[in-house]
Amino acid sequence: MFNKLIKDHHASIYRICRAYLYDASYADDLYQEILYQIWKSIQSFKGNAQVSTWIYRVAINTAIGFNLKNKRHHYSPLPESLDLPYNDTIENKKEQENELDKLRYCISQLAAQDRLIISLVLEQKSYKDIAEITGASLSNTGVRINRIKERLLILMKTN
Amino acid sequence: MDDFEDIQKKWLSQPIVQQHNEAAVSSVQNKWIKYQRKSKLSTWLMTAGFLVAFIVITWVYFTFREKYRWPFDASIAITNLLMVIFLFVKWRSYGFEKKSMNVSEIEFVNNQIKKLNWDKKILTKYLYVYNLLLWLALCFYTIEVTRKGTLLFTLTALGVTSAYIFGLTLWARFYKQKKQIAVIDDLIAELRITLKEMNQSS
Repeated sequence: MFNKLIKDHHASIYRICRAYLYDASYADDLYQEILYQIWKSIQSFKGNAQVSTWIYRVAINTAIGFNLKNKRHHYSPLPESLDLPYNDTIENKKEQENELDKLRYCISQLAAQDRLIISLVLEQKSYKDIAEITGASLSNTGVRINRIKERLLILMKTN
Repeated sequence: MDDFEDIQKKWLSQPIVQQHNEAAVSSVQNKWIKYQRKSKLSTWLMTAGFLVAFIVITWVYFTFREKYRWPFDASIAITNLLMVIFLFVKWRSYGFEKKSMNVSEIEFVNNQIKKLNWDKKILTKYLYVYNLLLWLALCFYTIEVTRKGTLLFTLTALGVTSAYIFGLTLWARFYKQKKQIAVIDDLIAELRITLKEMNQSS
């Protein structure tokens, strides 16, 4: 079961990690930690929620815990501001990769909680699913998502 | 909105570095097996340690109770109470660690705040109660076992014991715990902001 779950969701989990942590090496560590927490929690999964909702809940909670743990170890996992990477070679990069880097950078400029929410929106989760994952009300979730989307679009235009 | 849909398409089309493979899954399973083994071993060692301590204390009590007066009984009673307090703290902390990840984000953050408040309470309250009881137990014991010696000998023994316990408590309060409490306060403040953000729509 675990094997199949990971096979079906590994891409989404990895993208959530990349949305939450700009630094790819931290994102890899977080990915491993999420797999571990899913394996640990799988026995307590009673089928009350959809499998994907359950997986996202574990992933989001692990991300918050990962951030706290790293703070305890005095790492600085979430850069406040970063220069766009590869400034020297940016012209040689493919356009698609370039745009993706820019998108990751703009996501990294959002608040930590907003990064998690937008990662779920980008994974095409419905407002109802996102409200279920976060535990917030549906109306709050909707208003909040719209605000984050606007902010992301502005960042994309200004960067 | 079209702009956002473009962003979404770009995001979903990104190459995935972490490909699914059996080795990664197996590594996660091994990590969990190792963790379970370690956790089981530590629980058993703790249980065995308490059992041995309980047997030794009980043996000491029944062997020497005829020779000594009530302070001896009190020191044994306090020592047993200390073990109960220690076990309570240990199991409650263990209970927090077992809290499921399978809950909503808001519930998870609330659990984290409760856990950190518990950690803070241990450092700022329970540790002092523990040290005070330990000091009392050692004082009663020292008074009773040095009863036949000179007053100076008893007072010296009490002085050394008190200096050791209170010295360690003060060092922990003003050096070690100061940093730990600052970290906990920082994390609680951040989690409260997170919670506030999650409950606010704008």
